[in-house]
Amino acid sequence: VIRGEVVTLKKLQVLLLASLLTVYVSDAYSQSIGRTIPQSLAAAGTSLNGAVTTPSGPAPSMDIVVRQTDVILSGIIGESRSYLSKDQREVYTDYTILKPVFLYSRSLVTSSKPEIPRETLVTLAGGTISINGLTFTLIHQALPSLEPNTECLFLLKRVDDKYHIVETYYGAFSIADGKLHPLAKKWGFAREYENVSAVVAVAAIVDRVNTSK
Amino acid sequence: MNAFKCKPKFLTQESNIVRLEPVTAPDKVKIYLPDTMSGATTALEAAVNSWNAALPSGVQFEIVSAECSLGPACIHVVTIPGQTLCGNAYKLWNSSGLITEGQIQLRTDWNTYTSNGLKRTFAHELGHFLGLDNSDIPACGVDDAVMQDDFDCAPNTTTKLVSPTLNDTLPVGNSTYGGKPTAACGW
Repeated sequence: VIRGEVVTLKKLQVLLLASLLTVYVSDAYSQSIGRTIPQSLAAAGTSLNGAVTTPSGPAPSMDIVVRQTDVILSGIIGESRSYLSKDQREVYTDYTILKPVFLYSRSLVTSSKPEIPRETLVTLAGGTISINGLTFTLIHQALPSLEPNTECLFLLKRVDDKYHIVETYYGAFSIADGKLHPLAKKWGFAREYENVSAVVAVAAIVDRVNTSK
Repeated sequence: MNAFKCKPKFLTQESNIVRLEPVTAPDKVKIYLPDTMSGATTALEAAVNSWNAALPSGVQFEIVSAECSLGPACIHVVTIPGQTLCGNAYKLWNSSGLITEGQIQLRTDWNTYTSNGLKRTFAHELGHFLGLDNSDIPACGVDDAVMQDDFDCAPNTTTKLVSPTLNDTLPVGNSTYGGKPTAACGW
């Protein structure tokens, strides 16, 4: 009976592995459909613009955003540089953050060897690049770009060696007129911070991230 | 039900509406739904039939199960892990505003959407390929306009199904979908 159970468990493990592989293959297949950006440019033979429309559906709650936050950073938007992603299907833009202030770092909370983040780059999806003399501009309509010299607050997630905006669009806020304003162009997002001062809103977000871990 | 109760908003490239190039009848713009997503066929058919009935000429859609060559006459339905809401459209276009390729991108768990939520998602995202942008919120109620993007597709939610109708004034301007004058409602 015991041996039978072991065999059953092994079968279950194989089945689980197979089902995971199926899910992976399905996603990989879906992602592999379509051309890379260089292939699209070559096929069109002309410069191209592109847009990823603002996702349809209700705006996510701040709870979803804070749960994924690795770093909270404030600072001033500086220079930017756009580049092609490794899989050549996306354009990213790295923004230099001037006068950076790290308000939270997950590694300081959870690691036995905490590291103080020194990176002052924030990565956004979208941007403009040039390939073989042709220009390719990709705009994510929910968060097209960051305005230079704007004071911002970012909730960031570590992806490889970069800090990306949490949930692609929703972890970016500007600080202006003493208020915190979500930069994501999605109606209804982060409305709880609409009528409070930026100082109070930032403190509340940092507290929320701390208590969500 | 009026699909465009509010003033329609268009995505433009300079003065051109970003749009699909009309194909010559009986050809249609193909929408490739892979076998792995065959469970979405009924919902996609409902959205396609609504748009086809509402579009008098120029662009008509058809669903295909064999992969078509990506281009202006073929839109791929795909899933992407990074999508966390209902869906979105991805499109590339040239300097004239003509779409050269496109995708409708859904969450990987699209099969958990409600029936109406999935239909509404397809109808909404197809509208983006006809030049339409999201409607203004809250001026446009979620029950009033197919291009209002605040509908829900999550399990146990209620989504009012909104479809374009023959009475709607559909995208015109420098596209040829409707052929109606551009005076009313700002266009």
